[in-house]
Amino acid sequence: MKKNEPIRELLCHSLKKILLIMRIAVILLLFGFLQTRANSAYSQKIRLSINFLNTELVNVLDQIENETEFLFLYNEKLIDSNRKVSINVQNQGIEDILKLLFAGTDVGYSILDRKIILSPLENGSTIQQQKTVTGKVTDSSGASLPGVSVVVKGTTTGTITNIDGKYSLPNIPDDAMLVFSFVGMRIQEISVAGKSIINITMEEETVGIEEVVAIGYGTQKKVNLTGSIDAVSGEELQNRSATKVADLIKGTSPNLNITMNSRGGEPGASSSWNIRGTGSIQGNDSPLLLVDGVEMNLNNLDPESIESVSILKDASASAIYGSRAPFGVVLITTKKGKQGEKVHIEYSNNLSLASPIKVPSFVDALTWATAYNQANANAGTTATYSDEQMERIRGYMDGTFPYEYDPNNPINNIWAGRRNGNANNNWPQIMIKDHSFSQKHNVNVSGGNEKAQYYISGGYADQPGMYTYGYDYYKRYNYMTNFTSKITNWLSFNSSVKYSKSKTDYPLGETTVGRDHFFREIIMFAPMMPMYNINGTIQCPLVRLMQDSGRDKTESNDFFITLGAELEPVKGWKTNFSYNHNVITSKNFVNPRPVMVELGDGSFGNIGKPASTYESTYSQNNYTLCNIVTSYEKKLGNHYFKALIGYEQEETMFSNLYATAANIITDEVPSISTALGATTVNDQLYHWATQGVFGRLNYNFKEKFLLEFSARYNGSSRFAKESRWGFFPSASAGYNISKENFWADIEPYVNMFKLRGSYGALGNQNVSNYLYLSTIPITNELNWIINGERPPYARVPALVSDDLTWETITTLNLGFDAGFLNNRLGLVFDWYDRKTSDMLGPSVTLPYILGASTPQSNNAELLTKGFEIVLKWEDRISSDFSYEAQISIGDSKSTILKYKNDKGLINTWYDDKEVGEIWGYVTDGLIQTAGEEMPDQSYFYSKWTPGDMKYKDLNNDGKVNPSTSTLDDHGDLTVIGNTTPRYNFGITAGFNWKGLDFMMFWQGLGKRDYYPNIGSTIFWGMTTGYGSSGIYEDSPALNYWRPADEANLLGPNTDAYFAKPYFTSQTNKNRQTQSRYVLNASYIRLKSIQVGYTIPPKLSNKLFLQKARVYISGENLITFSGLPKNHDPETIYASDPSNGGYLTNGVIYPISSTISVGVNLTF
Amino acid sequence: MGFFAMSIIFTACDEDFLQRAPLDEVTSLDYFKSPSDLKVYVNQYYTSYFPQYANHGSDYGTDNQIRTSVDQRLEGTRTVSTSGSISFGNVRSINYFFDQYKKVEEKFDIKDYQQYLGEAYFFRALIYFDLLKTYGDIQWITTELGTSSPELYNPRDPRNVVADNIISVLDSAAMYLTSEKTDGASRVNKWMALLIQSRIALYEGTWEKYHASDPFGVSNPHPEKYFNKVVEATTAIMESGKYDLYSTGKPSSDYKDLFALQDYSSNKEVMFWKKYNNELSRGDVSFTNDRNFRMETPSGNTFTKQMADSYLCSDGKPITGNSLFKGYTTLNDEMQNRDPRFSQTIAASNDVWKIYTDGTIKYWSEVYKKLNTSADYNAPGGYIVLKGYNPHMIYHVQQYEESPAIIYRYAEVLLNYVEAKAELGTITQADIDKTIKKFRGRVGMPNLVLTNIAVDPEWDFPFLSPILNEIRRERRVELAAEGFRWDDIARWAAADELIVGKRPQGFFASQITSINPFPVDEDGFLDPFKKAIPNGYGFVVGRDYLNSIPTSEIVLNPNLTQNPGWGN
Repeated sequence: MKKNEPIRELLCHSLKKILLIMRIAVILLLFGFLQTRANSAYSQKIRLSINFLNTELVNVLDQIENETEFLFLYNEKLIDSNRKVSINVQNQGIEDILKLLFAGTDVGYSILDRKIILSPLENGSTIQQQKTVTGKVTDSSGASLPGVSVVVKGTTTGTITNIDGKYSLPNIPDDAMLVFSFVGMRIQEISVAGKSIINITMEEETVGIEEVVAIGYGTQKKVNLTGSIDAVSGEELQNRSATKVADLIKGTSPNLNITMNSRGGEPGASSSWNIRGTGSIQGNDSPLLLVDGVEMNLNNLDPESIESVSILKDASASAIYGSRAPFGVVLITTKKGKQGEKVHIEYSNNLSLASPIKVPSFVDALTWATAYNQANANAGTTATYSDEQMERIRGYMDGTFPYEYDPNNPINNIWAGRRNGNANNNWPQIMIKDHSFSQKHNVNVSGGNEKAQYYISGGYADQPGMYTYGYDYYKRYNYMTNFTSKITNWLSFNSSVKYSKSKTDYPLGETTVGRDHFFREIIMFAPMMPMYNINGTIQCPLVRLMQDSGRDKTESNDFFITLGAELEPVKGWKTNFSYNHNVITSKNFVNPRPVMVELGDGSFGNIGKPASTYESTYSQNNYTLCNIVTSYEKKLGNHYFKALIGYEQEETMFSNLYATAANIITDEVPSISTALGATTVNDQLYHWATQGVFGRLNYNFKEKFLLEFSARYNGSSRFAKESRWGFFPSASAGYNISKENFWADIEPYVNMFKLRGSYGALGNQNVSNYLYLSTIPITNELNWIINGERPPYARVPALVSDDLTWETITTLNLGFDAGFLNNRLGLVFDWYDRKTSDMLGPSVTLPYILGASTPQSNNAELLTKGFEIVLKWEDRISSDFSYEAQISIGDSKSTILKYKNDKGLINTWYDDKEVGEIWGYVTDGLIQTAGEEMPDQSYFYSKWTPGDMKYKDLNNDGKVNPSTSTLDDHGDLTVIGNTTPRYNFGITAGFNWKGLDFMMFWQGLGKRDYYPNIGSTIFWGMTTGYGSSGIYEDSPALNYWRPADEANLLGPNTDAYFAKPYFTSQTNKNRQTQSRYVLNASYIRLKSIQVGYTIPPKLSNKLFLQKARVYISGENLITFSGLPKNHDPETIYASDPSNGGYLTNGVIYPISSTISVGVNLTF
Repeated sequence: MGFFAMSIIFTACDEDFLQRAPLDEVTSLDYFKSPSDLKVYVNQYYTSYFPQYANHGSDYGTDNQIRTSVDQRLEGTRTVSTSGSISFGNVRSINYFFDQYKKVEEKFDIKDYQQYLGEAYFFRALIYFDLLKTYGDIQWITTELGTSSPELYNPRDPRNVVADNIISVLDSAAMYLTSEKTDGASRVNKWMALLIQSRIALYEGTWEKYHASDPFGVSNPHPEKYFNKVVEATTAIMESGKYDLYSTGKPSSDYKDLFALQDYSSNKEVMFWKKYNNELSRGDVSFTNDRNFRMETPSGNTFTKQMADSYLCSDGKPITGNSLFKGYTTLNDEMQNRDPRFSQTIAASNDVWKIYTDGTIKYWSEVYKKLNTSADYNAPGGYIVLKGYNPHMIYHVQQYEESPAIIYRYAEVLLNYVEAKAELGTITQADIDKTIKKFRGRVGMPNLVLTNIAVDPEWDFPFLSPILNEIRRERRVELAAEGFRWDDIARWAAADELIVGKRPQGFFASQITSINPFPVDEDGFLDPFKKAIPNGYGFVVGRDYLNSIPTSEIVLNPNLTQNPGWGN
């Protein structure tokens, strides 16, 4: 891992050479765009020279395959591929060569584009018949298909279609079923039912063992994979209402964990990605997200333009990306035009109606006030709601008091309504709308010939939010072209342009604390807060804030170009150059301003800013990635080799400029120029870069024994010179047992069985920039006026350790792929063991005297273990009916192996700690009678009375306390749960029946503990004070202890769930983290359901449509979870402060369930 | 495009392609090169160490003021914290300054940077004074520590060592800091350093004296040394002639007005204050001061009867047995013939509450009428805080007031001086005339005559000399609600006299015309905590004067000891 000058020298030398080629390539590329080419068939164009003497036919065919793009398709049982042949031709066309090869044999051939199909010639050996069924088999383009096996189901009687795709079967009973099968095509079964002519069209199998999946810097046949790679088809992400790829892909692959962030369901909110659980406790453990090989913000991608998604989970699959992808890769391939594809124009849309789910609903004002006052009484403090106010609340609710507040003592302070009013407003429900309408549209054109293929797509998405007052939205415009042009046999160019413009527009909400705070206010502002003044004007400050606080608008442009060239001077030796540049510019405008609220006494209060202000931020992120990859592929007899080496570098430069000015002349024209007040300017700049060389070696023998080695030598600017470079190797192997001869007996049951194993090490450079450098933070504008100005100020640098280097992630992956019952049942299993060593952790937990957070250093170790299972059933009962179902389960569990915590303090990481552990006390029930026997709990509070909590004295010392909170001496604390999500699963089921299609997708978690944050009002209801509490329908909050003689309207409740509440910090004595409130956060959610109908071709053709489909779909329609009814299992975590949530659980933008309709039209 | 691609790839061969230094931050090697670097560095401390006059005052958690719930320290219900830390971030921060500024010292003349060096000394003292008050003994560290420094495992240094160090640090501060008075809203000066020195010396001197026989005492106390330092520092300020009490010759309002002015630039008494300006703050929540707006209603914040009773009658004698005292029946009765600071600190019903821009005037009687009708009008002790309030509605703006806040005022200099002299036993009438006479003179009260002190049977400290009792009374009255009271109780070890087993009382309950939600004692006074603490405050005198050391820290550093009374 030391710096390696010779390698660099060599690298640079060869690079300079390559540059010359690249320059020519780029110039040619420009010409390539201008080329228009005649559509001449490949087969007529190609000329070959081959020379074989007495060689097995199979080798000749291989040679042709290697030198051309032809692919031979034949049934080994019917064509003798081991027949010895001799041939010597120079510069001949393929037809001539085939003529020579098969002259005098019973083998016929036909050339379909690049496919050459070999089949026995019809030899007139048809036997006398009583009833003969004949017909013709064609492919989807209408071309006849020779070599298709036609078998009478349940018998061995059968034949093969001839060169014209025709077949003839004698002596067929009326009730027979014919099975048509052909490599790469979907098996079809057709009932004879009196017919004597059966013509069928075979459809290409899109999913199956011949499937090709995208891997790092290339593609590979799925059957030859040795790593853990899951593929998701783009179709699964389409025709759904969600606008973002993250929301669509969630749950489709086991252990691909996508979670929402603290903005929850806000339009345009971002998501967090993770593969296989916790990978690092300090650094970032999200996977590398690539679109066509380049990192991209997936929010800016139109899901409709996705062709396929590969999820690379283990080290061998992602090793080629080295330190860029320690925690896997999500590889998205966009749609391209296809050779020989007729011009396709597709239009699709989705119109949806969203309804927010789990928006809290207040209990009525009287219940609310009664409970609050009881919490005051318990604490011996004055009632929040006075007797006089209680009377008004009662009167308002029964209609005898008409005002929302006391007209003789009107509200005279903008926040006082929640304390002094007497209304009964259900604020969360008032402030959040019931429905909002969203839409998505996409148009794309694709096509191609031998020389050029294109795909052009345009998309639009509009997602408004859920605010009743004010508005918010997310809009996105997408444009994409993918273009490939082949200039000569050995040179082609490709280019891709992706452009996305997104706009978000939000109300500022509370100008001083931001719009997240709005969700705190709507759930914690009491129902007593009046909506209106008696004169009819709005008094509610929340409404006024949403209407008038100013806007937070962002417009982001993501412009992405790829220019690439592929050279193939010799068949099998491909060199790809690619230059990618991505510019994301973003401008953000904010204009906070005064928000005047009319109060009950006629005066006005300002809840906005003191003066209209304007803030503007421009940012630009420039990202450049260049790579050169060269590979050579060769098949020698049964041996297949492929070698690949490449060089890659990437560079990012970010800059932003922020300016703000106060006292805007008019809110109508907010700008820096129209401001009279002081102006402040600030900026932010950073950059980083990586360089790496990588290589991969594949070998297989008869596709039976598979081997792969890959490695990357990588450097990152984020580390100091001495520890900058790292070498990350990996190896994997596969054994396709089902290709062994002895497997023949098992084959009828298990068609395919492959064992896989991989082992490799990767680096993690996902840490902050400049972490190894000690920098002095300097900030503008001290919060203090010195001599009439707010001067800048500097602070002490953080402690750093300059020997920071890569976290190394070593993964062992073992798995198998199996296919049963004619590959209708597929099973993929993976088990992994992923160790993160040299993990960043504090060098040591040090005494406070240090006065700083201890610097990070590479000294911790983490182990994550888990598995993935995908079980899939696919069957086609008839040409009219097919169905499929899939269950996938993933699991991960992480343990800290090493962490510098000599004292074994339990409130931080320690050796053998399981990630997610909750330490707490064991609940022993509530105290029911004064003076009843209980341990000494004075550690928490000096006084304990009936209705308070009792904890178990686990160590039997008569006292309940945490002792020293160390592993050796943790008093009565014990591990009471674990928040790690376990057993993430997805269930898909669907069918096609004639024109009708149905698909549903369930997603969930099998096991997870949740412990509500101490401030979570949606669970606890009342916390330490009235200002941070709230009581909702369907929450357990009112189930607190009340004495047997309780006279208030809530009545007695001695067998309660919660201890009695106190509106002081005393309440925390009963709210120690404890076993009773460990909740079950497992869930299952109907993520998506879709019913579509494809209009019969006869009908749609009349409308000049190749295909027309209408559908209705739904998202998030049903959820089952183990949580209280008012909790949503996803937002509850996204809003948890330990998870980066804002304030406390439930303070978050709600997510929605949607019902949508749409069409897919192909012209 | 090709050339562009080429140039990109060529950079790859540049040795420095992966060498990326920060673009918008300087590394520590590039900082501390000029005096302005020092200035920008010390600016950070201004926001951290200046407790300003708060809305409704800041003597909660003492016998002067109460809120609606019982203070935990006084109640004696605090528990040892298991986790958490002791904040040494600023110790490291200021030490970093002292380690680094020498780079400037080599290149510049002391005159170019002595102000900032002086400020660094000043803030080092404030940083340590906070630790001293909270934890007592504490490690004295003067250089930035690394992760392997042996000092990390130092035992705690005795409090008097720390106090001596702080006092000597302030000598340095006073030496370097400017002696200009300035407008008080600019950089700290020499006189502020001396004021703080006298404050800390008085704190340590009295602490060592009155905690001498309890677990908080030091092994070899030298209270006189500190009292002499107080006298030395305060005398320097007094003799500089730069400051004097604010007085415009209006005894009935000067004291009250002092705390409600809109500008202190040329004020003789205010040594240091915080300025607010909306244009500069642009509504930054951490930087606004809507004190007048907040003080329109009591919102649960009140004075206690104990505070009210400490005001003398207008003859300079205590209320007990004084015919001038009109009893408690109404607040107006109670305020009659009393030290005028009573009615300038506590709102009377006939005081002006609001003056609107159109000239409309409202009186506090409106508030007293609505007492306890809602949370805003909650007043557990009855006595509404007036000190610091300006009735002109033009200055009342929720969130965005520009009311300035007093931080240091000259009155404390005089009070520190006279108390130190009394503690030394060298007090003369001349000392009183230089100090207490000025306070009394401002409000029209008779002077205190050393030889003729009226005996108060209710003296808080009957075992102390009459003069000390009266000086402590004067301090309580003059500095009421300014945040000194807890520190005074702690350094006087006075909780056993003032707190333990006691409950705060409010004014006479029958004068509340609306509903009174608070309990009333047998004499008819408000007794708001009667239910919460029937046996009075459970303050533990062997424990509660200091905070506990987090147990996790004791695990980390075996040389660390727990404070008295907290176990271990």
